[in-house]
Amino acid sequence: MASECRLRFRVLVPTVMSQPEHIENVPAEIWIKILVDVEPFDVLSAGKTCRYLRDITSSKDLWRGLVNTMCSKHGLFRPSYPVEDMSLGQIQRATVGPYLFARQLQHRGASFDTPIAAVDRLEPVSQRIACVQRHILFYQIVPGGRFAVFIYPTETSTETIGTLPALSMELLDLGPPGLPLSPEPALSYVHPNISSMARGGMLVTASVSITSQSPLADTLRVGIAMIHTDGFYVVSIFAITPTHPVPSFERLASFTIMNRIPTENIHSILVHGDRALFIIGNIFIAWSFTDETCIVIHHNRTYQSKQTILTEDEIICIAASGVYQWSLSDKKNESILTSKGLFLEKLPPLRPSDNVIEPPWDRVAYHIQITKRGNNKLPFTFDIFLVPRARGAVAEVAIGRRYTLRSPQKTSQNPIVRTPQPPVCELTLDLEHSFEVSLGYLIPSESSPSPCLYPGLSTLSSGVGTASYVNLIYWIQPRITADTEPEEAVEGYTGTMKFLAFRHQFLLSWCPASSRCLFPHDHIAPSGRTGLIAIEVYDYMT
Amino acid sequence: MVLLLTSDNEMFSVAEDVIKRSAYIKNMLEDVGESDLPIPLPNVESNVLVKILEYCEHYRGEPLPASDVDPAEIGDRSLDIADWDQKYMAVDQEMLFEIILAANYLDIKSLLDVGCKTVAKMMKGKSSEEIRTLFNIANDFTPEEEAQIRKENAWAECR
Repeated sequence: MASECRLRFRVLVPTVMSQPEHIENVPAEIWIKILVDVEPFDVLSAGKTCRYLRDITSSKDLWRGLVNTMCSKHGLFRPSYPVEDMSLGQIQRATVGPYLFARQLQHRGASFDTPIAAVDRLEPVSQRIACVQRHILFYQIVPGGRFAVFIYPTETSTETIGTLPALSMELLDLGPPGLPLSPEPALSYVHPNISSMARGGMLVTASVSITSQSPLADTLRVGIAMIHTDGFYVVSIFAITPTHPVPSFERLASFTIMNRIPTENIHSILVHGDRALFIIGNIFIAWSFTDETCIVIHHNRTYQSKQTILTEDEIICIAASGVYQWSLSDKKNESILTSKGLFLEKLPPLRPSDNVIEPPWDRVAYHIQITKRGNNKLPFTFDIFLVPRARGAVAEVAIGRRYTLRSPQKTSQNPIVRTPQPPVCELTLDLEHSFEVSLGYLIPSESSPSPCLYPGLSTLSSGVGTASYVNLIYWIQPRITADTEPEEAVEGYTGTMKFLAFRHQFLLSWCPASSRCLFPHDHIAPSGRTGLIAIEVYDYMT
Repeated sequence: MVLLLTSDNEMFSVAEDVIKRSAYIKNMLEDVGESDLPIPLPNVESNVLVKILEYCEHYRGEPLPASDVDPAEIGDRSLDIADWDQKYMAVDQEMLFEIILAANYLDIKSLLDVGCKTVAKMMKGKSSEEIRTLFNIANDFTPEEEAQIRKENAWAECR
C-alpha cells in the first residue's frame, strides 16, 4: 500500500504542487506518524477538515498510539484502556477525556474575587458505592481511573481474641474511563491474606505504583508496610496484573526489620521497578528485591523533606533547603551509611533580583509534581506553590513556580547522539517560569453529600471554611507572571492537594486524567486511619 | 563513493558513510556490493536530495539509531526538536513534505521523525478551520456529512 501511495505521489505531482493533492500526497502511514504526536483534540479537528484526513483520523491504529501517548504523558496505567474491546468512539472519548475535563474546568473557572455562590460548580455525573467495607485501611485509585486498590482487615468469625485480623487486598474494576461507571464491578478479586508474614500486623503505610516491564505491559506494584505487635516491621511488595477474569496477585518479596526505632514509624514506602524505598525518620532503606541487596542511608539531618522520589538508581529529595540526591548505583549492600546526601542546588531564583527564594513550605501546603510516566524518570518537572494562609479564607493569591530537574547532557536534544549515563552529581535544576494560579476546591459538606468541584475559587465563605476539611483538587489556568515565558502555554493542570490548615490526612484519591475520584462515603474519624464506612466513586465527566 | 540518480536525472556522488544514514541505500549497498552503477531514486528530486544530503552530512559519524521500535508504541513522545533540526526544517511547506516523503522512501528514521514532529507542532492547538488554512485544504464534505460529523463530535464540545 505504501509503495502505491508513493507511486501516486510521483504521478500527481508535477514540479509545483497543486492543491488539494498537497495533503493527499502524504500517505496515510505518514499522517498517522504525524498525528500520534499531536493532542487528541487536534486529531479530532484534523478529522473535520476533509474526507482524506477524516478517513485517516478514523483509524483505530492511530488512536491506539494516541492512548499510549496519553498514558505516557499523564503517567496512566495502560490496562485502564482495553483498546481492543472498545469502539473507536469510546477510545476517542477516553483519549480526549483528560483534555476535555481540563477545558470544562477552565470554562467554569472564576476569578479570585468571585463569590463562591456565583461559581458554576461541577457536580459528579455518575457515582456509585464502590465497596462497602468496614475499616478500609488503604484505598487508591490507580492513575487511569479504571482500577482501584483497597486494603482492609479480613473479617472472620473465628477471629481469635487478642490477635489482629489478617489483611486483604482487593482490585476493583470501575470500567474504562470515558464510559459510565460500571454498575457492578466487572473485576473484583480479594487476595485473602496479604499479611501472613506478620500475623497480627497492623498496616502502617502502603503505596501503589506502575511498572512497565515491556513497553506495552504495565503491572501494578503495591508496597505495604506492617508493624507487628512484637515491634518489628514487615514490608511486602506485591505485583498485580489485571488479567481477566481473575487478576493475578503475586507476592514478590518480603523484608523484615527487626530493630525498629521506637519513636519512628515507616512514614512512606516508594516502589520503582524492582526497588523499594522506605523512609523511617531520617533513615532511607533502599531495597532491591530482585538481587536482594539493601542500602541503608542514615542521612543525619532532619531537614524537612517535602517530597522524595525514587528513580532507577537515585533518591531525590525536594526539601525546603534545596534538592538533595543520593546515588544508589555505586553502592551494594551497604548498611548504615552516613551521608548528608549530595546537595545539588538551591532552588534557583525567580528573577535576577530575587537572590533567594523563600522556601514556600512554611506557609503552605504542598508542592505538586507534574506526572510523567511512573513519575520518576529524569527530566521531571515539579511545581511549588506558595499559598499564604489567610484569616477567614483559604487563600488570597497563590503563586506557583515550575522547576525542571534534568541531567545536563540530556539537554542536548540531538536525537542521534547517545550519551553515556551521566554521572549522578550532574543534575541541574532550572526554573522554568512562575505563575499565579486560581484554585479549585472539592467541597463535601453536610448539605451536599456528593462533593462538588468549584473551579477557580480562591476564597471560601466562612460557612464553608468551617467545614471539617477542604481538599484542593484542581489548579486552573496559571497566569504567567515571570519574565521567562514558557514556550508553550501552561494549560492548567490537576492534582490533589491538602491544606495543612485543615487536615493532615489524605482524604480522597483522585485521578484528574480520568475525572474520577474515590471519596469516603461517610464521616471520617479524626484519626483518619480507621472508621471508613464505604467508599464512593465519582466521575465528573462521563 | 556512491552514485545516486535523482528523478530529474541529476547524478550525485556521495561518500558512503554519509548516505548510509539511509537504511534503504545501506541495505542496497550490502545486497548489491561495490558497483559503479548509479542507484536510481525515481521518487526524489535533486533539490530535495540536496537537502537530505545536508542532513546526512551534519550527522555524519554519529552512530545510526539502532532499535527499530516504533516510538508511538512506547508512547514516550515529546515534541522537542533539537536546535539544528529546527533550523534545518525551517523551509516552506512544500519542501517540508518533500523531505518527509523522501525520508520515508530512503528510510532515514531520525529525519522522518523530525519532519513528522515539525508538522505536528504546526497543527498543535489549531481548529479544523485553522488546519484547513494551514495546509490549504479544500473542504470536500457535503453539508449532510458536515452535520453528521458535528453530531458525532458533539460530546467533545465543552459543556
